[in-house]
Amino acid sequence: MADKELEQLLDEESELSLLETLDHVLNRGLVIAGEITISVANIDLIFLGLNILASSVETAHEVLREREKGPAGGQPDGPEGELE
Amino acid sequence: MSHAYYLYCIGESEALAAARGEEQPPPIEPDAKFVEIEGGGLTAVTSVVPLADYGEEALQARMADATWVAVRAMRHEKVVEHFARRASVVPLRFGTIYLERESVGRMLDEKRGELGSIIERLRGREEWGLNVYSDRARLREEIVSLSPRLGELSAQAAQASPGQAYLLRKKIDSLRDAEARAETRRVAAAIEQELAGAAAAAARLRVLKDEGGEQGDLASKLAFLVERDRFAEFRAAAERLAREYESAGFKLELTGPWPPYNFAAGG
Repeated sequence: MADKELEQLLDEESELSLLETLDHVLNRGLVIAGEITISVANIDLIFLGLNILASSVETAHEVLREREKGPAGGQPDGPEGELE
Repeated sequence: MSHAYYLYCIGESEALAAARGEEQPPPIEPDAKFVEIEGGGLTAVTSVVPLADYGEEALQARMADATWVAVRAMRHEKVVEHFARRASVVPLRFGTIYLERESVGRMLDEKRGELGSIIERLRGREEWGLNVYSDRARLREEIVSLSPRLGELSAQAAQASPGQAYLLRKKIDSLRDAEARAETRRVAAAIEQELAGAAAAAARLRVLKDEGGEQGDLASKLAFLVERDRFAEFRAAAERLAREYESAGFKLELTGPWPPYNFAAGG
């Protein structure tokens, strides 16, 4: 079910910007001990899983995109930019 | 009790009230509504989420599903971005959850000193990420002209007898990798120092192993807290550095603006 949503995310964000976002949200930000907590030890494993997932979904996606659009596919606009 | 409160970020009540009027991005669960909880002059932006997914055990199980996490983490980010663009907010880490509304209010009240000073420190500032990529093969080629040690050996080789020159060249080759690594560290430190001068704060982030790709190897990952008013200056400095280190095979990539996740901790 959520695979579609993830693919949609990847449509909007490049793989790198998706990973950067996940890194920010999962690994950084102020930690306030709520009443329900996620074990921090798990976060690294989760992130590793996301890393693999994002690259494989993106790879599959890119192939599809190339097939549909031909070679002139534009880069999606993420919150990033290469410096001149 | 079947629901809990999922927290995105915390800001001053007045500032958040002004940000609320505009159209908000979707909450962490599509049918969850936003609830703003107040305490001690501060407001936490939260959503009511079902314990069936966000209870301690349920959440642990959900976290094993990378797709589930990725989608929620993105929604968390969009909500924090929305408020961070309009007010000074403290971004919270994914998965800050309270069972009772009252406990959130109490937490805000108890921590208002600490949270208030973080909000103050972040005011008018944004986080920018800087990734430094290196082209290892290119640097290995260029390293003799960059490393004083190898430059000296190379000069000696130019004047030495053929036999000695051969040995010196072999030595140079054996030192290329180590010198390239040292140069990479030196460049990363120089970039960090230079940009920190145009920023309010800087942080060196860990480099996750499989990062990098078409841009080259990710040699360094930095974060800067930059005054909105000084961003042009910061960007100009980054562009100058990008040009300066381009010939040695380094590429700089600026990402952002981010909500200040890396500068949200107290202190």
